[in-house]
Amino acid sequence: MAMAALRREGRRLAPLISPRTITAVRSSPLYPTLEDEGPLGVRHISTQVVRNRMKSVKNIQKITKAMKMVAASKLRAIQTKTENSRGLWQPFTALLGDLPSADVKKNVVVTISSDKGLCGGINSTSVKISKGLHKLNSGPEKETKYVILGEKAKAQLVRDSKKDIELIITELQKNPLNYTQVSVLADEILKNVEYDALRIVFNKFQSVVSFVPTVSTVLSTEIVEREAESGGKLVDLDSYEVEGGETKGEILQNLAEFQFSCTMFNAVLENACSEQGARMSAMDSSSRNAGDMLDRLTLTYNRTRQASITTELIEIISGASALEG
Amino acid sequence: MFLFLQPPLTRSHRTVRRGIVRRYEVDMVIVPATTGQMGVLPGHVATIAEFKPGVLSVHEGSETTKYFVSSGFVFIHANSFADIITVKAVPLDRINANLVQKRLVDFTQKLS
Repeated sequence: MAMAALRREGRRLAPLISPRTITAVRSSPLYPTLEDEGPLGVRHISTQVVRNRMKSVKNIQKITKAMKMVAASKLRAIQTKTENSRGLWQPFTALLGDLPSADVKKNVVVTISSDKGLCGGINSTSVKISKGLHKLNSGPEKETKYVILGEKAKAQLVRDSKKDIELIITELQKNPLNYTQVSVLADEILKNVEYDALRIVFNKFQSVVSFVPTVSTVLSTEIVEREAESGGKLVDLDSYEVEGGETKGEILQNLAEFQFSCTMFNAVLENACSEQGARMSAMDSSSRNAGDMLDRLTLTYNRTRQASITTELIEIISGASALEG
Repeated sequence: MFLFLQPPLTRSHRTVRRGIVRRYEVDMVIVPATTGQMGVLPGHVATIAEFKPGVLSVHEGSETTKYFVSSGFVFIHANSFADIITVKAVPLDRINANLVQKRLVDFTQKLS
């Protein structure tokens, strides 16, 4: 109360006493000074900086909370589809086996990643595994090529493995994922890339907080026969009679292609689920961090405000006592 | 038809479209293979067959359920398990014959 009264007094006297012109140089909005100029040239500590920071942190918190909810709803939509698609590749694996240790000359690594960011570390893990596979499978006669799905993996792999990339496909999730789209994609890959073994790298969705990087291997028919004959873990395809078609080879070729497209479908869905789940947890921790930051800033703001009030009081009181005494 | 001393045919049916996985114990399945209608009974020899779009009928005792399936594969394993994998499988009662005829005419026109 006393302060307000003194302020009014100050304002009344200001045009007589103030040595500076009214149009004093104001600090530019880009570089706010920590000192405000009040009437009579009184300077007190400004809380403007802290207030601006608090506003922007609060906005960030709102945005990340909204992003988390959006990701949660997208996850729910896609999760049932993914669980249903898991049954697809199981008979193929039961019959033909999944043999990641198959030693082949022409490897193709299909890396599945997301187009958008802010989804935690899932894309980096996929790329790390793809690079690991590449290293594992390069040797004197062996070669490994990449097929990339998604912008994020493209950005990381183009930097150092540009010559090994065969195909890049982006904007997969523009339309909701369905089998027709994936089968066209699989067709493109099978047509344009020579392969003995296709290794699909994706993140398998185990739960909302757990995504496991996985590699699914699809072998071409010649390799399957070679492995079966050598008495490996694959069941002997010869024990199965093959009906229809001209030759057994033709049917088995169709089988391998169908297997690839089914596995791809499942992989793409699982990766999409993992992406949404990872985004949920990333945005959740981000909003929690923003909340913590906001608490700290509020404390700083209050401290600054109280300090400036105290300083003003001290100045006024000492001024008043100087006048009296 | 139930063959004595053989386990009943267990059939698991997976589709891409609706992603249904169903396991049945059935007596017989008739599959529209590329070489014609193929009847699969318990004790069938292990086979891999491709099929063309057609009608799949599942016989369980005296009941028969028919589905229209698009192409796919059927694996018959030696232990009387059969896996049928198709892109689409629709129970016949959900198909409207008139609509199908109309669509057929439309698409034939579009093709030519």
